[in-house]
Amino acid sequence: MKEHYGWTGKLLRVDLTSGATSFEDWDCSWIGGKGFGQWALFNEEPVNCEDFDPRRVLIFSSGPLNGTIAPSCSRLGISSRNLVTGGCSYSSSGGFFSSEMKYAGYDHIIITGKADGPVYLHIKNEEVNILDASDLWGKDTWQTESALRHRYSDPDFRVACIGPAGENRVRLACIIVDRNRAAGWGGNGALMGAKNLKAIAVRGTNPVYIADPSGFLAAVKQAREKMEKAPGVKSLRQGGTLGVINEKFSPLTFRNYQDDVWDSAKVALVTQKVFKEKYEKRRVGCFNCPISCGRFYSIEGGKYAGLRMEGVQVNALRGFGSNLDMTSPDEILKANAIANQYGLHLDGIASVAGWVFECFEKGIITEEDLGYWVKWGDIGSFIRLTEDITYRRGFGDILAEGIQRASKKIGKESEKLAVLVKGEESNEGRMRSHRAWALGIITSPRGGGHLDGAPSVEGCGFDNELCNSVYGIPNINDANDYEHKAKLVVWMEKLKMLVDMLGLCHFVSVWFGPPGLAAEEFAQLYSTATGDNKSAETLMNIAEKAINIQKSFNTIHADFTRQDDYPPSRLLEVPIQSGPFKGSIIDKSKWDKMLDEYYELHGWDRSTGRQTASQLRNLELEEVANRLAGKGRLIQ
Amino acid sequence: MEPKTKETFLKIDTALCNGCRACELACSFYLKGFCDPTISKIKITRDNETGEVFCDIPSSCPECSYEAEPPCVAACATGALIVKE
Repeated sequence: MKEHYGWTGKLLRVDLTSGATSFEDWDCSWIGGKGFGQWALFNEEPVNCEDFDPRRVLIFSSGPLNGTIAPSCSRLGISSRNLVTGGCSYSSSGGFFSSEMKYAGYDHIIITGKADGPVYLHIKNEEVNILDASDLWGKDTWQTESALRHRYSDPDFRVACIGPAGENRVRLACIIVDRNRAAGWGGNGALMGAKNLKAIAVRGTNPVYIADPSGFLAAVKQAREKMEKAPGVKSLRQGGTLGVINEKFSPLTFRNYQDDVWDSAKVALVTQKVFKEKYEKRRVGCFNCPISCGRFYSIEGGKYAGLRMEGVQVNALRGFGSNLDMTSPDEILKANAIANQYGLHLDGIASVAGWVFECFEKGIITEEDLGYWVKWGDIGSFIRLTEDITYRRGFGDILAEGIQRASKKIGKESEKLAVLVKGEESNEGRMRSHRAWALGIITSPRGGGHLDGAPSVEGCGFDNELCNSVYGIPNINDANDYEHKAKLVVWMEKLKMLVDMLGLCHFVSVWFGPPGLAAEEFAQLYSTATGDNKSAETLMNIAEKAINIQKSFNTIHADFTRQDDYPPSRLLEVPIQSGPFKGSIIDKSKWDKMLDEYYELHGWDRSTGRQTASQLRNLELEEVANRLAGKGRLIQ
Repeated sequence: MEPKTKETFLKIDTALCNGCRACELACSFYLKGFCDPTISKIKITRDNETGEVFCDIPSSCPECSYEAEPPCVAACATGALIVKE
């Protein structure tokens, strides 16, 4: 009998300071992926030390379903302390890296320390080498990925790397995976750069064993059949999340959140149809993904002829399109490519650019500051600004710290134009009109983003009765209504945590609309793959525990309280100017009520937003409670 | 799976293939009951720089030649891999 099914049961630990590597068993009760990643971060991350202290940890995680035949089992999870908010961070990427990690024999890679000079980590099964990366330092992410894949003459070597932004410790720096996929949040690329770690190249030739092959095959078939009936899957197959963009209503923002509506004539220039007809060369899928939302694009003519890349999805279109008011699809692709090549988190760099453009327009940042002018809709402005930020040239050095820190330095009421969640940059549409969506983003432990409690399905017009049976609230289609939305967000947080723990993509789940997969299907896949029989309810409880670990991390490391769960002022003060949600804005008193309900559902203290001793005891997290109590940040 | 009644072979349309490797993995799982691309009869490679996909697929496999719909074909969600008579 094998020792482990689904999991490999091993983690790889790398100390870049001493050069030591070791293999360890790990606690599979945290399921894997985000669950274990955040638990390990909570336990191992030092408190009260410098942002780039070598002791800080960087964790790459896969889940028990990565590398198996479970649909869309491609996600790689990266856990670290958030260099922008000071709280926890979690980023996820598709591609092929996580399955290759599993085949190499590792569920997780935990990296600490700092190398003397640039290095990369070369992993082939049990062979782990820390190698000189002097020749790679300075290269962009595409050059780095190509160099390593060619070096090993093996197309299955998978690369996660940083670009110059990470090397220069830009707080917006991300980790690029498989050349075209990004794990972006919380400055994880800057942390990797501070460790002098340019890249990880991984290759594995071991099997992932399955506890109950026939049961697992049946669970996979059932999951696939259900997915095939989902309208969301059909839409994603047409070209990813660009399908949500149309002339009637689109989840966009305009010029640094001055509005949530972009002129329909401009929207028409950048629809899915335009990208498909003009650039699409092929559908591309992540590892074992029956959805294949990705597209490989090629620009054949014009200024950017020869540009070939995977992308763009809706956040890129919003961030570089409507947010910067750029209407040329060529330029949106180019902006996306630049962000990926420099290794910049696209939500972050797009938000910074939008904020700088508005500050420039209002005379807060000047031509004298930047050394050039910037204006809306101008790709040249974006490119110069992005280069300055990436290489920390001139004023770019201030902006490389992110909006929160830059605005404090610049002053002149630039803070008022900053649209931040827990101090982190934000690039999300429909927050002023969709209540659960906004609550999920703003309470997100990692500091924004729609991949925690935000329910994509809200206001999408699916059958009300069906939605009530799946999501347990009667008004999911009434986006403007605050009632019951906290309940939806709390449930969605747990479901999405479970998806992240297993290593699956959120697109397979009911997050994107019914009839996607929910906890029952995930429990079947998990139990048959691992042999660890757990019910849907038990798995959702473990997800709740993991959410509480993130919350505790934020309390200990960033001292977040209720005041950190409020929307940025622009969303409370500036209403939507036109379109179906004209006049919509977040109402502070209704937000307060929704937040009360959210805390109550979590068992957290309403007035402070902090965790309580009784609630953590119920979750069997006494050790966590003790740590919080030791800090004086637990409600008894 | 239903047993097949006529002689068939596998055919791949590389233009439709998305490079997800589902067929490759399904083959290994069918053969051994675990997931291991190294034992698969199929090898799919996608070039991240050009987007090109390279498919190494046998026209027929004795291991599952009696299946009306081989597991690799069942796993393919794009219709790139089909069974032809």
